[in-house]
Amino acid sequence: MNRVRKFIEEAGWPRILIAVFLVALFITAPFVGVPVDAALSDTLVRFGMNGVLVLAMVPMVQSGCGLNFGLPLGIIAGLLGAVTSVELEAKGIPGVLAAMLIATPIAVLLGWCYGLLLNKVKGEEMMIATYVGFSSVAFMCIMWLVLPYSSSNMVWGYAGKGLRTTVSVEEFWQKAISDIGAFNIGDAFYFPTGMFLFLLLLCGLMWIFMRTRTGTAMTTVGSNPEYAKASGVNINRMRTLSVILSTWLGALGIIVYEQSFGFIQLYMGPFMMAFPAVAALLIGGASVKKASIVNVVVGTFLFQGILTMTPSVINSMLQTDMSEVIRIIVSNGMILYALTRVTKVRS
Amino acid sequence: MKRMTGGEAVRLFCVRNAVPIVFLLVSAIGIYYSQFTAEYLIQEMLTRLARNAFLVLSLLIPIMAGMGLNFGMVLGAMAGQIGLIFISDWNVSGLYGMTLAALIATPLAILFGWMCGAVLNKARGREMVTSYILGFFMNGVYQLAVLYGFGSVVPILNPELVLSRGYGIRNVTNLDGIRNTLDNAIPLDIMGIHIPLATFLVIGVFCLFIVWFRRTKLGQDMRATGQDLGVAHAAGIPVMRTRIISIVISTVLAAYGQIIFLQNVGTLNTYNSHEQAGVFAIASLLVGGATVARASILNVFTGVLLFHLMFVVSPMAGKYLVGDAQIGEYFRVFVCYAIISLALVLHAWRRHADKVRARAALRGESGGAA
Amino acid sequence: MSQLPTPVSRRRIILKHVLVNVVLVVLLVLLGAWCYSEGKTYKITLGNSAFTGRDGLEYPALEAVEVFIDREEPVFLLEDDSASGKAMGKKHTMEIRLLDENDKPIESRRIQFTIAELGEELEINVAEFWLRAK
Repeated sequence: MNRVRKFIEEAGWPRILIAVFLVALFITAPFVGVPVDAALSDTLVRFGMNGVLVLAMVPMVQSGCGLNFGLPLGIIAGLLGAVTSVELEAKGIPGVLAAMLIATPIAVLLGWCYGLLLNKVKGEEMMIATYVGFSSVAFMCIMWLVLPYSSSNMVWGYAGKGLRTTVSVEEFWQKAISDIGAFNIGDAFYFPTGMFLFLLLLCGLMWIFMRTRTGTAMTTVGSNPEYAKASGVNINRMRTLSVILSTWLGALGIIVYEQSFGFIQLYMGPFMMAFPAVAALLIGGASVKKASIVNVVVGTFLFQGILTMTPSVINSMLQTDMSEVIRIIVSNGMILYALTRVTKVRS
Repeated sequence: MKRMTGGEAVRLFCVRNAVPIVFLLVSAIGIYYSQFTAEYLIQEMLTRLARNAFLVLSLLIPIMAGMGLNFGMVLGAMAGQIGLIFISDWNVSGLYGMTLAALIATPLAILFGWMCGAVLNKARGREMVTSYILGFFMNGVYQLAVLYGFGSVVPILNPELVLSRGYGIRNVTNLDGIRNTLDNAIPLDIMGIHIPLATFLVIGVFCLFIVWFRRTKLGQDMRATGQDLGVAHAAGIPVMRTRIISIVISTVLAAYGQIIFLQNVGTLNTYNSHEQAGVFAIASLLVGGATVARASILNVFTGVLLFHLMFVVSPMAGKYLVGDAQIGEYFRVFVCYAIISLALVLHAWRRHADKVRARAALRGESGGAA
Repeated sequence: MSQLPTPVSRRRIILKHVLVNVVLVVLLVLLGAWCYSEGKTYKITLGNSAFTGRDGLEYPALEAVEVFIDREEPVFLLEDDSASGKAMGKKHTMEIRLLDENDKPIESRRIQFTIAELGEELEINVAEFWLRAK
């Protein structure tokens, strides 16, 4: 009994509730006529799509910058890369790689500025990150109209300029990464091997990075800034580095997302994208000050599982689509829980 | 405090009021290019001042209590909207309808506010981001209630309000019964410009309330709590209770503010109206030169005027300036968010600098906020 | 030394608080109820048709009338017309203006009525009210 209680305490009741909910969904699915293999496949695909975006949270949490609500900044870098790659008409795997290569310097530059800003506002990072994300998305809305892209695949037909709200990458690099070694079992089950390998690669690199000297220094800055200072670590440099890393992973994440999804969503598309990623990380067991690769994997799977399963199961049970409302309540409830959990720590 | 020379005073004034001054300049350029007539602009500004001032005023009290910008005011807006849904269902119109809506909204807003305050007490030091997320969370709960609960659990008599599937409120609720009732309660037209006098009277009464409230025991307690939680606690002020009360008052007032806002607009976007309420109110307040820690009634009025001036002129200015109204639209969205980020950054920055300065020269109270 | 409140007086203070709150809540509920009864808006069907009076005589419909309920926007009715009007609250004054060929008012009459006396359907025959208002 004691061990159960301790487990609940450690995991936190919202997480357990969510896990139980997901298990219940999977159990009820076949009884209400939802095909389990298709649902599982969907979950896995979405897991792969969102994994990198969730992983992008980790460096900033570790270095004590809090949850990266400013993820849209990284996403914008990724979008610029993707759009430019389409403009260059790069196809297949080279196309995706081109997108990533172009996105990288942009992400590093943006991340660097963003990191410098966050260093000036220690203790208020999350709120400011949220609004930096929002304003950069709004700013890019103007830019998408103004930037001199001209590929007929992307601009509004009648005006000849200004990018469309969604750009299809079907002819360029849709599923370029996903389809590497992908296989089907039966009709409905599709396994995007390439995307998983890519996620695994990034997770592995992150895992290794966290164990290098720089990585451990970064963690120390987050968990014990006084000690870090005493041992001669440059706190601001570590924080900036973590922000750059987060932003860059955000850029890669959105490109992975798009190649699987098949569309580049511009304008207000990335506006709210930070919230599901934050929620997923927290559901996986991370806190505002501590996150690991395991949190990323578990959290993304649980969260995306719920997002895929609720519409189909609840739909067939109640004949209404409550998934949107459930998504809002679950993701924000989780963030709220995490925010109220930690007692105030100020540098 | 040291005496300042004239030049220094001007500089300090400019630094303190940098945001409104920049805004005034941007709007001035916008007005020039938008080609609106003065009459149109004055009418528009008066309407918008009456429409929004109350909502913005509701933000003042939590700032006083040191809880920052109350992004949780959307909870109040939701309460107000629930009141409005009920009165349009029962077909109660006129000032009676508004009063009834306010009466229905009050207990709901108190409940929401109390909840919000209790949650924020658990997240001290990150009130703003928490209240922000709380707003999102409650938005989900609100949708669950209104989209699935109303018409099934909560009886709704008027079939015009309900979605065709039999439950849930429609996206747009018509508020014909109370449209402009407060604005037109005391008709006054000067040179063809309609002045919503009654609304301004209500706002004026509320301003007096705030001035009075600052002097009460509770108001003093709140200011003490806002300045230093630890000291206030040591002085025997029930800190947590005071903080909750400040949020409750703010939420209730936001509910009334939303009712006033919507009686002017005349239609309720059941699932969107409240979301915009928070962002616009906060942006307006900040544009008026308020900071996260200090806001006055004057900030509210200048803020609403400047922000909405920009809001009105920017699409047209965008159209005439670059030939695309869409750019102007995006521009105002950008400004709205950028101004909030800027204010937050400046606040955090200043606090950081203050801390450094305080450490450099250990000195006592020196006039505080001038 | 100030005296600590004895248990009895403390209970009285709490009781007083509760009482004040209860009275406040009751007052607010009463205010709400009053607003509801005064502000409830009814949709009234206004007709203008021939009818048989209580004296057994047949009365014709009016030619053209304008009907005002509580100074709301007027409702214009021709012979055998019907339209709907709004009425806020319980007691109302109706003003009926008889119009000539040029739609100029010839004669106007006032009559008071309450929602309760209209019955379930909320129907008013203006011709009948015109006669009654005499």
